[in-house]
Amino acid sequence: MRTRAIIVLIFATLLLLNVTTVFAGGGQEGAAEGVTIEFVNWVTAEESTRTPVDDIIDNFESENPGINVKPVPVGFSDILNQLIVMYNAGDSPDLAQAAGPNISILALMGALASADEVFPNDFQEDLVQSAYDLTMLEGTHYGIPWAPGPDGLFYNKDLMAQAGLDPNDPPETIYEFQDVIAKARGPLPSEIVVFGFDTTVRMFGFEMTYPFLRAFGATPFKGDKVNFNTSEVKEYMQWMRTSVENKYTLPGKKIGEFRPIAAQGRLVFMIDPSFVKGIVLSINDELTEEEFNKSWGVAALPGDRQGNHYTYASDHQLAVFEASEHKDAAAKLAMHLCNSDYALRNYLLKIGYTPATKSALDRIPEFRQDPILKAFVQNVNDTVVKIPYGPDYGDIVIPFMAGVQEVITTNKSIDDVLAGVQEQIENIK
Amino acid sequence: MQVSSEKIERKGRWLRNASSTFTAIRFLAPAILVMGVIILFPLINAARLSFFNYELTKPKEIAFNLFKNYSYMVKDKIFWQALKNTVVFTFFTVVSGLFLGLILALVIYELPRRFHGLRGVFLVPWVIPGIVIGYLFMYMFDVEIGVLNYVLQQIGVIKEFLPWLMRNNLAMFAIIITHVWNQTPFYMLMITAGLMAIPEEAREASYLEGANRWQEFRYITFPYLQEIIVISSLLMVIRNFNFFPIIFTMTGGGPAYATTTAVLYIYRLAFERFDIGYASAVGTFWVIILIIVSALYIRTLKERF
Repeated sequence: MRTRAIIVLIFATLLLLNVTTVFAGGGQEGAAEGVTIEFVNWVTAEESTRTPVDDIIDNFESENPGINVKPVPVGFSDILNQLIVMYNAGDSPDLAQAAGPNISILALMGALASADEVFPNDFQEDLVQSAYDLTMLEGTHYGIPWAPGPDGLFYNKDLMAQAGLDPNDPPETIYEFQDVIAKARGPLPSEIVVFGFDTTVRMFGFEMTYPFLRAFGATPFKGDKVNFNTSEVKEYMQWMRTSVENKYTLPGKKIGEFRPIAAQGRLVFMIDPSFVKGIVLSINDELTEEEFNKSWGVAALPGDRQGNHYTYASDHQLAVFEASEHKDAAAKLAMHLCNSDYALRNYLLKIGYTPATKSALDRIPEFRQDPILKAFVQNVNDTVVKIPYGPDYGDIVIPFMAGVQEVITTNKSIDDVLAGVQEQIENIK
Repeated sequence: MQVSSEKIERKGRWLRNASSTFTAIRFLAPAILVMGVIILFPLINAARLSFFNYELTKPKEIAFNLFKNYSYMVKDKIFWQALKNTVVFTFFTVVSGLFLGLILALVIYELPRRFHGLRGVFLVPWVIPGIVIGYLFMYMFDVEIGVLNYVLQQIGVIKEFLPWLMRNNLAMFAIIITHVWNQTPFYMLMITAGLMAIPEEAREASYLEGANRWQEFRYITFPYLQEIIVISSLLMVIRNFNFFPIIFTMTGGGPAYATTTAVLYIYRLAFERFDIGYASAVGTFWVIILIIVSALYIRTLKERF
């Protein structure tokens, strides 16, 4: 009886193994028919963008039957960590979404394929040059822009009028801006925040700070030298301290935390990319697009004394990895995400990005009709300046942002704070 | 005949002993193996990496550098500030939590039996994950929408809203309050267990001797609770030395470095600056401190029991 049971068990196991093998074989056969692209990104990790991006990926797969896409969702704040760890572990993805310093750092590590290697010339020529150059390191492009997001100055015309300011005359320079925010504070109720500014100790916090440092005339990066201990940086720090003391802005907030305030109609100046309109509308269901367009205007960020404007672009970019065995397929997916009519209409236009290619403006006329996007194309996109990222970028900007927080939260002398920041930077290992 | 049966019995005993040892090893082996792989290996590897210049963003510059990371650590002001913050945070959270836990346990113990269910209610903060508590209190302490500012203003304690999480001295205070709220139920539970273990005869004797409530607490209750207080506080010292989620979510270590504790600093070094070598050096130093504290803990336990 027992022997029989054992025999039955062995037969059952063999049968199961056989069935599994047949199915596994079928799977392998299926995979052999095409390639699978691993696409690390944060847009499929976020509720507001997951559905449209998954939809574009489905569209891509249906147009390219030999290519399967495996999206790997990773949070925005973790993506650089994950990509660095994946690369160091010899497990690079085929394609990744990037922003800020990501492409520069990964390119310096040797992780990325150059754009010339994977993207056709005509496509590269069609890209908006200022956005494309943000992916450049030492004369070589290592990625492409997908969803350009330079910061512009949104101004709430209703609140400006309420504060006794001219709603059609946004500040041009940082000095006008200082003047305007001081004038606005007095007549407006205390629950109104005059301007939103990211003062968190993050790399992203510095990226928002950089155009304002430039507006004060500070150029902390000169070649290989980094110097924050200058009179221009001090002037910036003094302005930040005054802004917090006089309650023009709220200290220690991420930029995203000002968006709900804007959605409630309690923010006069919002420093954000074009897509913030979609976010504000999604936060406040009662606010219509027409009302938003009527209330908010967009100008370039306040510039320096000479009238030069600077902005940082938190562009969403795409980069193909050097270790990918399917670079062509990965590049094809990147171009589809960036420039296919389907993606332009169903993602970029819908969310509120300006397109990354010049031809898109002609192919999709709606981009020119939206007043916010139009203002970005006209006033903001050309003011983008590149931050000189490098492998020590985090080591440099994190102490600086900690210094900003020290200035806005203590009475410590600004000279001492800047000297401390500089000392930390000079002692980087 | 008798000799051979003795021999057989001896051999049987040896076999039984050997077999039980073998069985014990077989049962323990998987746990030891898993612990070795998931705890010991990373520890040893981190100690090894601490002797290397190992920055993830500079893979071509990885090199053995002996004690360079450690000598940098000695000069690193932020590291020493983080160490100081950790000690301050641990001291105040343990002392305040213990004190409040003791009071809560005593009060509920003295209440009629129908109120003992309150222990379950007071236990709720202990079971909520740290991240959730962090976010909850972050909004409560918020300078703009924080309910705490609103309440304090309504009762006339403050005139205008305070930036609790963005002022050096207030931020540490805020995270200590939050952590004490989370931790007090643990002490309450441990001390309640201690209270229940006090023999009724001891209390009756003190009553017959005419002791008042304070004397009863001072000479009967407290001596009985002493051991449980030592154990629970030492346990929480070790836990709080390593505490991460509430601080990370509420302040991220800020403003500036005002609430940066050692574990938060290690996290920043590894995942914001990608300096694995230096993060490993700080981590290894921290492990040594924790081993010393743990050794004290174990020694105390051995001495008392």
